[in-house]
Amino acid sequence: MKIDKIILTNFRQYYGENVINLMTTKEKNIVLLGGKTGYGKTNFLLSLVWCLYGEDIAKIDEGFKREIQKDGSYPKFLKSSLNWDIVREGKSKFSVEIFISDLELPETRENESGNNYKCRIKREFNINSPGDDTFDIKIDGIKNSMFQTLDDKINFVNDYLIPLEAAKFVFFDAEKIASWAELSTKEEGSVLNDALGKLLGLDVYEGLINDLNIYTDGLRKESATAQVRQTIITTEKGIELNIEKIEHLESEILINESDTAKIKSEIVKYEAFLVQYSNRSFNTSSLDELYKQRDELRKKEKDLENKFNELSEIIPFVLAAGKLEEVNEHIKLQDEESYLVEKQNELIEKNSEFIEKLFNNPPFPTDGDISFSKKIFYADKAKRIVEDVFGKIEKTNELEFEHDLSKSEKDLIVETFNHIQKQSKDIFEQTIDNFNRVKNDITEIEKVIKNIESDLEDEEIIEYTTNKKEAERKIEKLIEEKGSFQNQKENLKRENEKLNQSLQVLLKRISVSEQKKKKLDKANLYIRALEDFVSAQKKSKCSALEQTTFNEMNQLMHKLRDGSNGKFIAAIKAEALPNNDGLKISLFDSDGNITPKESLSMGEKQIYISSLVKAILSLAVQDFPIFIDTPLGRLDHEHINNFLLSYYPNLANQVVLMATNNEIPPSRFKLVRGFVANAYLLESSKNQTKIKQGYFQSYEN
Amino acid sequence: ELEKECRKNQVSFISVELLEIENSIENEN
Repeated sequence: MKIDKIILTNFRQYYGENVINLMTTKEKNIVLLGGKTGYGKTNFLLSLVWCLYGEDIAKIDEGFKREIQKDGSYPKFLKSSLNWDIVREGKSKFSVEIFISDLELPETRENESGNNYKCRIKREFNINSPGDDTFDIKIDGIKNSMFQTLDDKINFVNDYLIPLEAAKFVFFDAEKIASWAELSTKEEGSVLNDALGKLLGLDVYEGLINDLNIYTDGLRKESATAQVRQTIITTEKGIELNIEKIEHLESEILINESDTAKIKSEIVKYEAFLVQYSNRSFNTSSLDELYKQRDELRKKEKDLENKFNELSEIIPFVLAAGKLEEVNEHIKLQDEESYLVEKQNELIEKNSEFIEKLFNNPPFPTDGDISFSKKIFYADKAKRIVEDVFGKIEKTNELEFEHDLSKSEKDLIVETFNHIQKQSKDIFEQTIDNFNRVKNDITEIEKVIKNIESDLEDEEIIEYTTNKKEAERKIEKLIEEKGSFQNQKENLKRENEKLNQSLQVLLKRISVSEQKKKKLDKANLYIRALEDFVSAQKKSKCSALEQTTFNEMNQLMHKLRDGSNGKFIAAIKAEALPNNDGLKISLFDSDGNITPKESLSMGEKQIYISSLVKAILSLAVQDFPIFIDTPLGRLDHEHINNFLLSYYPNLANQVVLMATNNEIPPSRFKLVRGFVANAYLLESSKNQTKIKQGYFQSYEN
Repeated sequence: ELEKECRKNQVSFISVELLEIENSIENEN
């Protein structure tokens, strides 16, 4: 299928009727839509998904869900989507129309099967008509009676146009989808889950397996006794009731998320007001905290004051520290000298005692007395020998005077000197610094307290602060409520699993007639053939996905192509997760180790995801037109050229790129011109955007 | 591929191409 033309009428900044022709050819498959930031490229993408899916936009992916949540709810999104100038002119409708060609349809009573049907779909909203938007589908040559209900139309879009599950691969922002590379296995599985179903065309086979299972269950039920049948009916009702409850909870969760988003945007407004007009950026609950802080600082101030007073007692000594040191030194020398004198006297005394005892104490020599002159001679000699042997003690210092101090007085001076040495002037300075800092802190905090107290007297500030607190309380409650909903949902799912198991056991026990047994056996063969087929297809699709993704990455990424930095991605492995939970994709380096996707740069992530998207689309059983916002996202100059010359020209039969003049300036446009079927420029004046044929003429315009 | 799986499981490929049970049983008889 292809989209030939789109008409936007009064949608958001698109004033009046805006027609854009998207016809492409085999050689020229690209349509380029240039627009500066804020001119409406993203809203152009939004208009298409709104036209196709209406309220179900939120189910496409988180990005589109946020677009709805920005306005609070779907009805508000609709109301805010009417062009603001049109509102002033008294008009009340906006619409989006998509004209489709090359549409493939199966044979019905109304038509032959074929792949060149044309159809037009239109979604319109009138803000003066309460209720939903109107959704209309017209197929050339087929009566409108085909679509009797809204569900018929939704099914038609999902089965023959672009399935909702595939929309994330068809309408996307190339920069934002790079974040898929950061998803957990479970999240990645669910994002890629649709790739194995709708997109690869296996959903029809799985649908038939499901219908065949319903058929075999039906055969058994027909043969059940009245009592067993009653049990089956009760169990099935239980399952149905649980499914209803789960659906109800899911819609409650959606409402909860929408309410949360709305309240969060209110909080942002309150905060903006308070930042602008309030003297503070605190909330009232922090006032008590500030009082507490002030009390603590005052206590600290008092402590420092006491410490300073203690220190100030020794200030005179500090000032006289030099003199005190001199006295201390003098006392030390004086003590040394008196010690030496004492030692000298002791030695002289002992020598005299020795001489005295030598000459005057018995026994005496038998040959007569020693003469006095000899005694003098030997006494002098002994004195000299003692001096030689024990060393002569000499005074080293000549002190001019001596302090006449008692021992306790000397001790006091030494102690005072040591104390001053320890409590050096650094401590004084530090204490004074701390004291000043605490004083400043007290002044600051008192200023803030004063502002808060004055705010507390400002009624508007009080109102906004109260509203903000109330909104924060609501958010907490909503988060709690959402958690409770999710728990209930999980419990119901588990309960249904058990009920289904017991139902299967019950059905298997029923004995059936010979004729029904034949049918059961035959139906089971059909089921087995289809299950084998689906399982083999999933395996082969996985291996094709691995190969195609890897080849594409090799094409696009220089690092892989020229082998520099080693082979940091040498292989890709895609595995189907159990329980139909989608795909798990792993990257391996040349040593066979897993390369974590989060280790890739933003540009590399974009290349990896773009390669994966292309691989998925190449395996799809339908040809989709592809719409890409920010097509060159985080890429550098050389990779941009690869994308423009090799990736986009081969991505699909119809590729619509929405770029800024920074991404695809005129110089790059020349590069890609050979592939471009049509180029348009979004022009904006007075907040109104119009679509004009042509492209940026220069970097500036 | 589907035809291959049908052959393997002795199921009529045309019948599956549902994408019938009584007819299939009758044809066997």
